[in-house]
Amino acid sequence: MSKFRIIEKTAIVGMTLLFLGFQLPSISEALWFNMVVDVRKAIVNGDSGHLVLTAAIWSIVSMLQGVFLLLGTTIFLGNLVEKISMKLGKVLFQGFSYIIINLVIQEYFFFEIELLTNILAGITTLFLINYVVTEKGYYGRNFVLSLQVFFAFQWLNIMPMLTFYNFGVSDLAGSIKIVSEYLGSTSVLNFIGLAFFISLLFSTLITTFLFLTNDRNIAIAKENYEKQLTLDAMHAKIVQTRVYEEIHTITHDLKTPLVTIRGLNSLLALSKEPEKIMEYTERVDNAAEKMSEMISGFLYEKKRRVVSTEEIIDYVRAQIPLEDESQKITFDFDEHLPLLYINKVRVSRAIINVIENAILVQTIKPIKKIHIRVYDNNGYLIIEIEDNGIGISKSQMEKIWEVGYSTKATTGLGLAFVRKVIEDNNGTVSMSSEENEGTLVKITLPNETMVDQEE
Amino acid sequence: MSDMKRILVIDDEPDIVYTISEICKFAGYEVVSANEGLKGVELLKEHNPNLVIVDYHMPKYDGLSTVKKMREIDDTVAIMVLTVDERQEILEKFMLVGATDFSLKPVKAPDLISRINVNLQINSMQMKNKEQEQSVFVEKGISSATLQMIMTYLEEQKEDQTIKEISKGVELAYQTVHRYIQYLIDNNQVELVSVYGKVGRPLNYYRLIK
Repeated sequence: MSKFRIIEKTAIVGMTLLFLGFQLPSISEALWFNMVVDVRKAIVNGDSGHLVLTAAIWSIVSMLQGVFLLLGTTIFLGNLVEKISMKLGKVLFQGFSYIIINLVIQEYFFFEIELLTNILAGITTLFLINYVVTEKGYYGRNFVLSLQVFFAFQWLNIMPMLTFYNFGVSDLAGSIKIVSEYLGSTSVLNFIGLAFFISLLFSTLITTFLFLTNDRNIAIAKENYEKQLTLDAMHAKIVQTRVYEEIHTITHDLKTPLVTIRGLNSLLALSKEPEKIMEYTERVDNAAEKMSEMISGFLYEKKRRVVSTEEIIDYVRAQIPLEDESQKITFDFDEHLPLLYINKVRVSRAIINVIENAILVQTIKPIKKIHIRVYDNNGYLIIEIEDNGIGISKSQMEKIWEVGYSTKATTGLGLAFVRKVIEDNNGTVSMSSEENEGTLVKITLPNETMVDQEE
Repeated sequence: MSDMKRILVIDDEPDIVYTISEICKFAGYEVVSANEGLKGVELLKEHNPNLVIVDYHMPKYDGLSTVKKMREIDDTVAIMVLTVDERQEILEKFMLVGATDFSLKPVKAPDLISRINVNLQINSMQMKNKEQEQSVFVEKGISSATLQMIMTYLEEQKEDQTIKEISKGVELAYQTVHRYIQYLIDNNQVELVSVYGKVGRPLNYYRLIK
């Protein structure tokens, strides 16, 4: 229904324009009369200036007629043309219809038209419209382009030197040229015609170029906008993944004391031994206390407490994925490791992230080897995670700390999160890598005495 | 005294070791425990338990390696994995290396005790199978005792059963039953009957092919 209405609307607009094109000579009858008067004045006064003025007015009127006919044709054909998929096909179809209309006018109406220039200008415009202004419905652009092209070509008609090639064969154009010969000013008209023709074509080119640039800028802006959207979506996904992983970790952790609570509590109901009751209830209470501590550690990122390095190591080791034949994870721990003042869940999660990266990275070696070394260096705890993967190239090295960057087509949440967590806990992370040899990530955390501890 | 069943508990969390041990003791079993996988393997050699209860997540020597190692040493001991992870594909990894059953954390004492009893029964069936020089494992991850147990249960049923019902009936973990039913379907011994209820997904029922 609505499609039908659009066809109707374009058909009406097209018809109106065509009608204007047909009727322009009669509408502008007074103008034509003036032009004839001006030509006579030029003869009488021997004034070629009047001749040039007449030529200009005539060019404008002819240009308008040509533009109305062309745009009328294309708009009238409108949706019909859209069905043709090839651009050349469109140009040929529109051009053919346009030529027919011109021939009809030439043949059956009382006034003459400049067939050759109309056709040349029409075909040029059609090429520009179809190949440059690709979006349909850019009527303003079509109008601006066709005005310039037609105006340019009309100037060819008043050049005496082109009469031989069938330019300017209509009454008025012919009279102007004859008068110019009589006045001996053919070279003036030749020069002015050529000057206008060239500069107008030039301006057409510039306009076309501006349209193209504009389109490209819009396309770029659109692309950037879409990129931003995907980046935002990725960002959200990263946060979501991290939250999910943390939730996964924390639920796993929470179930440990829950085993004690549920197990011992259900045993309490069965057990008949009174001396066990005290022991069980105390254990259940301890487990509940542990749970509560875990929950606040999880809820408040800033919540930190004194934790032994061993506790962190055990926690991390219990969560790294299972070993298989293709990879070997080795550990090397110092005897005496410091106490830390950190948020256990988050720091552990960060370390696990680094280890997971090491596990996921591809290697050209037969077996993936990951070596984890933990030692004390003047009160600082150093955790080194080294793999023999394909490494990171220098160009990638600068980008790896950005959120959303990933070399593995994963979420790329890893390193940005790792750095934030470690820095939040007064530590530092550094990374060195050699391509095809491996990567070493070094995490440094100060011991608990070196950090200001808040209550 | 030789009738006294022995259970080996392996978990890195002392609280969990304590809890599980207390439940086992209450049920009248002898308990030995270890706080890491390798120590557990040593204790297995030393004490020859009927059942091992082992944690999935452990530092140093993880649950999977522990189960694998223990199965290499002893092919009849029942091995029950304690886990919070309910995913079938993860648990099937454990079955492939020789675990007989699972228990999802946190567990209640009565449930754990009946689960322990079933696994002990599987153990004695396996020992008998071995005495009669029959194979203990039909294929990787499928023990003949468990298979026997599930088949017997299905034979006794007049109506088609869901995995949940079978799991409840034989008192083995859902994931364990799922794996065995899959095996039986692959070997054309059990067929799947989908019943489309009024809402939601179809219910899957299983029956023996006679």
